[in-house]
Amino acid sequence: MKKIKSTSRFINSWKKLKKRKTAYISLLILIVLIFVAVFGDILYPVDSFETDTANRLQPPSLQHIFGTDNLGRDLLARVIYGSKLSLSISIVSVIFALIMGTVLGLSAGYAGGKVDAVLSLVIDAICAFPTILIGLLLATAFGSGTLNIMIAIGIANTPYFARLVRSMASTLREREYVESAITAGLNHFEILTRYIIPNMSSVLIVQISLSAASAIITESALSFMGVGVQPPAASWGALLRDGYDFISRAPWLSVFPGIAIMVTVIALNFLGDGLRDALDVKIRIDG
Amino acid sequence: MGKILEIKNLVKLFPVKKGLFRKTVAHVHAVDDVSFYINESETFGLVGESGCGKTTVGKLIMQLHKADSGSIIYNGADLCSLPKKELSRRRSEVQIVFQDPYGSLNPRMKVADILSEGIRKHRLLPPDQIPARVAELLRLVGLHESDALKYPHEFSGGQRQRIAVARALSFNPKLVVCDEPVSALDVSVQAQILNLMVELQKKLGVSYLFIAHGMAVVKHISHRVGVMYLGKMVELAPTDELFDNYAHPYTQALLSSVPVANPRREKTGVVLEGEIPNPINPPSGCRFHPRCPYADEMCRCQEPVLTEWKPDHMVACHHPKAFEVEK
Repeated sequence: MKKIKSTSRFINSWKKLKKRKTAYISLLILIVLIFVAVFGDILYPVDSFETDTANRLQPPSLQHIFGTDNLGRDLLARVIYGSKLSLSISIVSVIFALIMGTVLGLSAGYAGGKVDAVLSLVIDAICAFPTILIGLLLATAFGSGTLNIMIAIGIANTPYFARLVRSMASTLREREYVESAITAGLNHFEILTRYIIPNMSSVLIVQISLSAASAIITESALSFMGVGVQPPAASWGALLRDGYDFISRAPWLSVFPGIAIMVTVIALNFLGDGLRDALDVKIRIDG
Repeated sequence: MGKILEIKNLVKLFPVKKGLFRKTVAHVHAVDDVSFYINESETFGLVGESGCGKTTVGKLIMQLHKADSGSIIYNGADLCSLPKKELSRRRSEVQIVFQDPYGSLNPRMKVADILSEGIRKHRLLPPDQIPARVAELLRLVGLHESDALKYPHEFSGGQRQRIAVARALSFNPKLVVCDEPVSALDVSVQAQILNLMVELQKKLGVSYLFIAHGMAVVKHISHRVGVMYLGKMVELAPTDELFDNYAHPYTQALLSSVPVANPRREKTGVVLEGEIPNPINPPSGCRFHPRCPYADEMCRCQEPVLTEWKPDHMVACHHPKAFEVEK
């Protein structure tokens, strides 16, 4: 049998994503950001904790590209260090929300009936809590810290995944190909893993990128209010908070972390939009 | 010829739920006391308007819905009361082809995986023989074996329906329930699929339960035909007998709705007036009486039973052939 040409879904989607310039550039920016976060210590070997009181609040210069803060710490090193925290909090909390939301949503949507009614109520109840409040509650109960902020943001994002998965599961369950799987004698596990979840993946991938963006914003807000990451460790939000006290004397302390947050969030949102089109089989992108 | 499937007094009610506590306020009488049988290597056509319960009959046979009462006897065993394990094995011998070729194939699976899933699940073949079987199935339905590595979205509607037929056949079924398999296709493609199905029946000896709403398609493919109206079987006869010698006024109405390719033909028969009644509240007596031009007092009060009107020809009507008497 001769080798047959088959258009893989992955390659197809990748080609389409490449044609979406904004999404493609956003993806490259995000790859660079993650690369810098991981290899920052090697790329820019300056200690972000080293204080230098002689050089406090220095504006950006060749020596300190982003300037220095009120303790003379190098801001670029701090922003790079912050990217580790901000990105990992975003990624971990989204993974948490994805797993929790998928489990909740699948149980509700696939089982239907009373299970659905009860779980939907729980999901709505979580939704009613502002993220800030969940963060504050966790901080008061377990102390503020990186892990707690991850959990708080994860819980806050869970309902979005749960609702999405629930509605998709309850429509997919009625699809004829799922009925044909039942008549084939497949069990629930096989149906969920081969028929339901694969058909949700493209929507979930889009939601992941959008939720990652909102997680960064939420983390910044929580840290800005002091419930998040604790000093001397500093996420982008915590850097913003530190810079706030010197906003008129040293605006660069707020500007650079702000730009970092903005670029990441915009890139994630553009990527999400691009992925939405790229993963949809029905949309063709020409040119 | 033995009976492969026998359905006795099948009833399916769908509860209508309302309010905060989802209380059952009424029932939709989807299938109400339906009985028929299908012989080996035979095609049984089931026709009726939308909502008459014909698809529900198909889904009940597939055990996608649980019947409220009655029995579905397949090869001597009642599918309604089989234990789960036994059912899983048995049900692989009864397969279904759905109406919508775009909704019945998992878009995330390659054709080869779609066709081999059942074989793997029920261990019908050793794994090393599966690729050959997939290629054989594809050839059998008129596709190329190289199509095995493609995804469903790369095919046209007719080709997808061929894949759906191949999927059903991959189980070596004895009976295939065809739920309006050609209704979603172009007329030219319809004929191809129908011919394919007839051909496969000759080759493999499968039986079909062919569900359709159009008489023309059913005439082409069926050996015997049952006509359903509002969850009831109203007429049941061998195809030629039913088309030449129909006795129920509803069958007459269905037949006169078949277009004939002759512009000078005189218009005969009846055109039904009014909507199909609400199956939550089926009419008293004969369910067809509000739309029947020949209904009288007896039809309004007393429900007609499906009885043998002529040998092999069953009708549920108080006045069979009433339309001829009037002439």
